[in-house]
Amino acid sequence: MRRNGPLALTFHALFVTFILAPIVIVCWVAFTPEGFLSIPNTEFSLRWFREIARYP
Amino acid sequence: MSAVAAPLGRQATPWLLSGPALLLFVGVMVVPIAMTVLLSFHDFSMSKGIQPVFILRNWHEVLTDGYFHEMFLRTLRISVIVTVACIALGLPEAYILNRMAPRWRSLFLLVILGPLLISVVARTLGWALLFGGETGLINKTLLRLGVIDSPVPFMFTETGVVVALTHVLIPFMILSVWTALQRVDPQTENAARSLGASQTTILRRIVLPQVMPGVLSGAIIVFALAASAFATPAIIGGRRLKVAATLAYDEFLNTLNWPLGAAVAVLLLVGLIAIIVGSNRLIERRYAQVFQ
Repeated sequence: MRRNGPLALTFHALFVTFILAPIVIVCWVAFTPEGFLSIPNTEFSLRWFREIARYP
Repeated sequence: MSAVAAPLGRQATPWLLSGPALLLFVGVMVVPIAMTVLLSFHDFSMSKGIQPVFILRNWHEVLTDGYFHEMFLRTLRISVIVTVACIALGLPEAYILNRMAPRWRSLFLLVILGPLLISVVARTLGWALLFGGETGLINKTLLRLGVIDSPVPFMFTETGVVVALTHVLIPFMILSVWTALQRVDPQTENAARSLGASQTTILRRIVLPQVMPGVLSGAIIVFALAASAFATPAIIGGRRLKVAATLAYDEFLNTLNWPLGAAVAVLLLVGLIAIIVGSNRLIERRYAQVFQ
């Protein structure tokens, strides 16, 4: 069994990024401190997780 | 002992054993589809609702109106592009996975097949966030890298639907090709190499023909799921960009014209069956030696 070349590994890295990107972004956006859909850059908060806990 | 001489009980055994499954199949699959077919021949008017009569008006409307032609052509176009994209990305990825060290292979198989455990809606919303109108994360990145000069519209376009659907359906293609790759004897590659074949020749003449059944069955699964996909086109395409599945939904639940919606749904079903059976015939004839 031959090893994967650099070209194959680059393709693989791009492919895994493609697969994981939307899932990671959903988790990331969950930590926004804003009241609207936004991607948090500097500030993170657990506001929306507390919101879930408040309405069981 | 011949079958004729067998006691009645023995002849009935297969029927009794498959009876529960048959009943379930008839109850949850045949009856609803038959009722939908019947419904598509009924009449509908805003004032009287659904009239249980036998007319061909819905079918005439679906088959002659350019509005419906556009929807069905778009569904076909999206499904074909998604299938081709899944083959183009999934086939090399499955091959690369197969050549990895076992430790990495199981990790990345989990990464690639894991999304199947997450709801399609959550994954599609992730894409909606990445596309995010004209200023989404993808456009920002591409602009900064200098790949594009102006933002590419992803939301409410076929491009966006194709990208998201490819992401949703590619695990099925990889699973299918992966299964086919497991049956390939690695020694055939080594034999070809020892006879002086280049890597390209090995891929084209040795590996590809052996995994072709996996690629083709994966393509059929992806095509059927893409053509009948609902959540992804509904979220990314929105109200503006309808496909056959969202069109049927709108007829059922927004205009409440159930008979017309039923006609759309039945036409989608018949079209899918025709395309899948037709391509299956073609494939079996073309790759007859692989299926033996």
